[in-house]
Amino acid sequence: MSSSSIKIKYCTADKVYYTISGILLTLVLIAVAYPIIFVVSASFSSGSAVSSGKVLLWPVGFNLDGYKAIFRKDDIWLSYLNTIKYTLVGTLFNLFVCMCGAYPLSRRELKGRGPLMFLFAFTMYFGGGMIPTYLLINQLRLINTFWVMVLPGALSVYNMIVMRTFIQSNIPNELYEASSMDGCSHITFLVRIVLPLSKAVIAVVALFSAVGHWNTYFNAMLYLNDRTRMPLQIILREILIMNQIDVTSISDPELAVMLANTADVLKYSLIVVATVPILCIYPFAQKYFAKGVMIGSIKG
Amino acid sequence: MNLTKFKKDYLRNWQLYLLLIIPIAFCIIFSYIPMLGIQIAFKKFDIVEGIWGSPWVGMANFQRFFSAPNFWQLIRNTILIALYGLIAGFPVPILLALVLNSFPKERYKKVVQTVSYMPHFISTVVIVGILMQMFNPRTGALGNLYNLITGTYMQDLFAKPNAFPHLYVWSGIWQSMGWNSIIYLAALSGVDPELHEAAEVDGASRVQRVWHIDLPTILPTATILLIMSAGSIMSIGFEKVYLMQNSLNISRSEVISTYVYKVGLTIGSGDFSFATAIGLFNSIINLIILVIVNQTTKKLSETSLF
Amino acid sequence: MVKQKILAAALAAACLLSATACSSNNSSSSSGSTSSGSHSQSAGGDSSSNSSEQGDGSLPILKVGINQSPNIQNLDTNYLTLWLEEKMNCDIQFEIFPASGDDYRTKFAMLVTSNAQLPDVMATGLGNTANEDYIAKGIFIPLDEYFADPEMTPNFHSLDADVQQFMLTGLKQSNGQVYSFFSYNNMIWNEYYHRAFINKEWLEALNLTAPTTTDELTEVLRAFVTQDPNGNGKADEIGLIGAKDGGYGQEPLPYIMSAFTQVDYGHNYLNVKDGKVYASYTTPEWKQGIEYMNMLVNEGLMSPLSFTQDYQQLKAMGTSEEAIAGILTCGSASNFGASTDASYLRMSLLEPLTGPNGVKTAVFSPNVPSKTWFITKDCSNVELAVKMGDLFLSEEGSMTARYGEKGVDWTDDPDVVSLYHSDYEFVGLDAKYAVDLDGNLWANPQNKHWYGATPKYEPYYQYSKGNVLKTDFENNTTGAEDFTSKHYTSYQLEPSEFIYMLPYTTEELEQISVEKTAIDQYVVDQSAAFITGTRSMSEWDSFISELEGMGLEKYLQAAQAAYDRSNS
Repeated sequence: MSSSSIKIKYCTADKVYYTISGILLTLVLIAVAYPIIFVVSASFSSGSAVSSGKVLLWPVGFNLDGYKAIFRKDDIWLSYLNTIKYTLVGTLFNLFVCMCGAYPLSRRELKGRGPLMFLFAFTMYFGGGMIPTYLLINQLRLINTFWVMVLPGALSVYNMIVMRTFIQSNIPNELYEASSMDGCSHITFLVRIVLPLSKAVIAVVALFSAVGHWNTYFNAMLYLNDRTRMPLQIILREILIMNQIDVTSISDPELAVMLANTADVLKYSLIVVATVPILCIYPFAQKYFAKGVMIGSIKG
Repeated sequence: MNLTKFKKDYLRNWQLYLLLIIPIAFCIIFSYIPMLGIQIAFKKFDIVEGIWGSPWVGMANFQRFFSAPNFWQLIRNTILIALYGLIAGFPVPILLALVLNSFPKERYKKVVQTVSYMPHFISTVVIVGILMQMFNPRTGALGNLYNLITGTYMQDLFAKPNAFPHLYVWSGIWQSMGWNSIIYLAALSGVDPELHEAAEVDGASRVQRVWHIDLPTILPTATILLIMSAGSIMSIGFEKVYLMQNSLNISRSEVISTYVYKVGLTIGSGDFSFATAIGLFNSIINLIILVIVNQTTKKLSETSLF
Repeated sequence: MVKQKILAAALAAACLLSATACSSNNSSSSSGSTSSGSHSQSAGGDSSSNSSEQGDGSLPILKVGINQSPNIQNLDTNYLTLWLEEKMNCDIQFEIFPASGDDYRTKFAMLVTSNAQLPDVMATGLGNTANEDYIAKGIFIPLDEYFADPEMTPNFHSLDADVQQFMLTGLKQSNGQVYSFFSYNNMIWNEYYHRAFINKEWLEALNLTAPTTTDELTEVLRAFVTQDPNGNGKADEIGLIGAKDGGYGQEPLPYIMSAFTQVDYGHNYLNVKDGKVYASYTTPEWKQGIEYMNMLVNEGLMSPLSFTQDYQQLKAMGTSEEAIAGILTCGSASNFGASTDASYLRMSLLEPLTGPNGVKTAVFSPNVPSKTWFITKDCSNVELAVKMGDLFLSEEGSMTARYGEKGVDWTDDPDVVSLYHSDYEFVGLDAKYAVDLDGNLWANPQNKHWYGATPKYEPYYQYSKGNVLKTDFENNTTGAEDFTSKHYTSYQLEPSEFIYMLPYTTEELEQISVEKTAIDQYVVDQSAAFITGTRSMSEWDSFISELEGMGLEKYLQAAQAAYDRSNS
């Protein structure tokens, strides 16, 4: 009797909680959906409607001019392909280097863990800056090569620390001790136990790296010269900055105004074109966040 | 004795060191070697003479920065905006992740999760454009809505210096809360469902279970992320602030990065020494804050970066 | 257990292997590409120096550094490229630089500092201050002797002598030498781009005439705001509005201030009188102008949104079906939509206003030759580079560079040209060319020209053009260009009363960079603060003394030195 009344009481508490969280999530959904809908609508609207701010939510003067103009550019497909290549290879590299660092740093057996972590973390806040890095990359003969888009950023200290924290807090130390009793070495342990148990964080780091590579603009701008190696973001950027007019440096400002109008049409279509593929990888990553993935695999 | 212990230890754990060689090599090559270039902060960098050939000028580049008429304003604005961003922006993704994780309707949950991370991919230029349009009292979406409801015109938020930090920080949260919650969602996958089942049997409500089971699970991750972001208090990105600035809110919106940009523009080939000097100044302050926060959390929660 | 050991060993091996694999992969690929890189480099170096001498059938190569414009489909197959290659009998190769000015400067700085081989020619300049810096460091080579030699620059020498002189003066760097070609487009429309447009329909509805003085402006605005010209029964009209900087004449300050004192927008409001440079914002006339605008804002006649919204929102107001504002300050009629829209047709241009002291000036931004086509120290065939630069200055070269293919995009066929309205009919010039025949030459990714990134010479009196059919012109135009020419040019200043250029040296800029940055910005920001009432006018004197504290005197001294240099 008393227990059932308690149960009902808790159910009401849960109901209240679910109602509140449902409302919260709906508010979040509305807030974040607005810019998405806006960008998509603008990409299907007429140029004059976009540049004069008539598009508020739904497309105005529906047409596909922006998309047509984008695909008329010769280098768009090649840059697409380049971006995919850089993203794939770069992400694999990141994961590999990240794992090589995260696992040892999560082990208590490692001597000098504190100083080593500081050595890594230090680079997140201190950098040599653009010029020395450029000169180094020039000396390594990486300028204008495929690998310049992969190697300099192969180690992401941030991702490594995230992964280390995850391993440290989610994989019980006893697990290694038990395995090492069986004569299991570190690398075996890493491959057989840690990797399968860290699917969630691997998915996150892979997502972070992939998105990072997909969005790389500055390195490509600086280190690549050859038009055939350029990633998609370079082209996106060219269009985005088109409407930042600087009258003092242009001999024909009225012309620049006309240019800006074109840019207004193109930029939204290009954002859609450039973003959809990377958005598609999220559901794959999401799969690994499912509750109990990890515990299940320990038991299995 | 000690030596043999060390040797034994090494023999047992050599694979750890082997693995570490790879990230350490990358770290040294691509981060530490270029750090030699920091010397140009104390030089008058000449683009033709290069890093080593340029003449030393001591602290002159720093003095130029310190002598800026609005130096203290820059520092104040930078720290205020960053601190506000940290305090307001840090809990939101955690909250979102906890709520999402405990929400019973799987499909709706997935929709919210997927949509909420999308704004992260919209470039800053476009986001600021959308913001300015939305808030325009005469032509904007929110402006029109306000007018429809109240019959009067909304105030122009971009003209209010005090509104700037709010606009900046909350638009940032709006854009990135979904993205930032991903990592917590991943961490929450580590919770043992049996814990929840047991707690449920004991009569714990959903809120209690979120508080006592879910939150502790993500606490180490949250602490580490907090430490890392505390160490970047002096570095506010340039682009978004610059785009949101105008003459009327400049007293709150001028930050170090926008100032460096404007000074750099006056000197043709780029004032690399000046930029490096200010970067160094920021890094030192960041590092000091990082170490302080790290030591504090180490004492309080035994979770720390190093 | 054995199995585990084997696995561990295998993994360690794999680990090492992949490390070596990636490094060998890396080295092979990088050596591959460096070899191809050096190949193309040597090809570039060789052929530009040798092939012309060796005559082995391969054409001389000219490597052109150019900003990427997203509106060019493909530079290699571009009509202008092919046209130049045929005319010069050479092969043009491109090195693409980023489109954004900042990134362009950054990348170029990296090339220079790493001692990389520079392109033979940089088609676009890096901006006045950067050009100056690189010249001081010997990155670009002087062209004086080439401009002096009719053999080398025949098209330049076919220009009138005074035009030649004007160009050479305009191209001079702070050391007195010339390092580039020029792009010069003489359009009066662009010389007076701080303009205001007024809503004719509202004027008619209230039976008013367009204001010509500041007092009349106040009256008209007051009527707009209080007498409900749009007839919807609500007091929702905005009097006057503009937008913040970064566009084409949208700030309201210069247009209104020109009724109080002479305004030099391009030189951050520095003026010159009797050879002495002074800051116009420290004068009592300027203060009076600020007070006037402050009054407009206080009475609700001018919208403070003018200082926070950007060009896009201004345009939204300009193109809205229901007129929102009575007067919009902006340079381009494109802010009101297409020339057939009602929003476009309801607007007409205002002439410059006369102030309370009888001052009436127009904000003058003179067309000066802008510097393009710099030849670098690494150029191995300077003669070819110079001759190509000169080719752009020919009539056909300039027309092709700007409009594309003759006979398709533009024509001089009298039968066609006669159908077009001449841009300069008001000075009695018939069109000599008809351009933009398909109507969207500038609006799409195109493959006809390099989007203006070349030298050119386009004086209106020589090549008057038409791009509007006469039949269209009569129906739907505001006649804004003609109006500008009639009403704005009469206030053109004597050269001695106006700063044409301030060629600062790099040292001067380094010395005043902090002061100049701070003061230029502070003047704009504080003007807005005073106008909108964020700062009280009673603090004006302390504003002036703040400027002095920021180093105004030092700034003016440097400006004076630069000005004297330009006139010597």
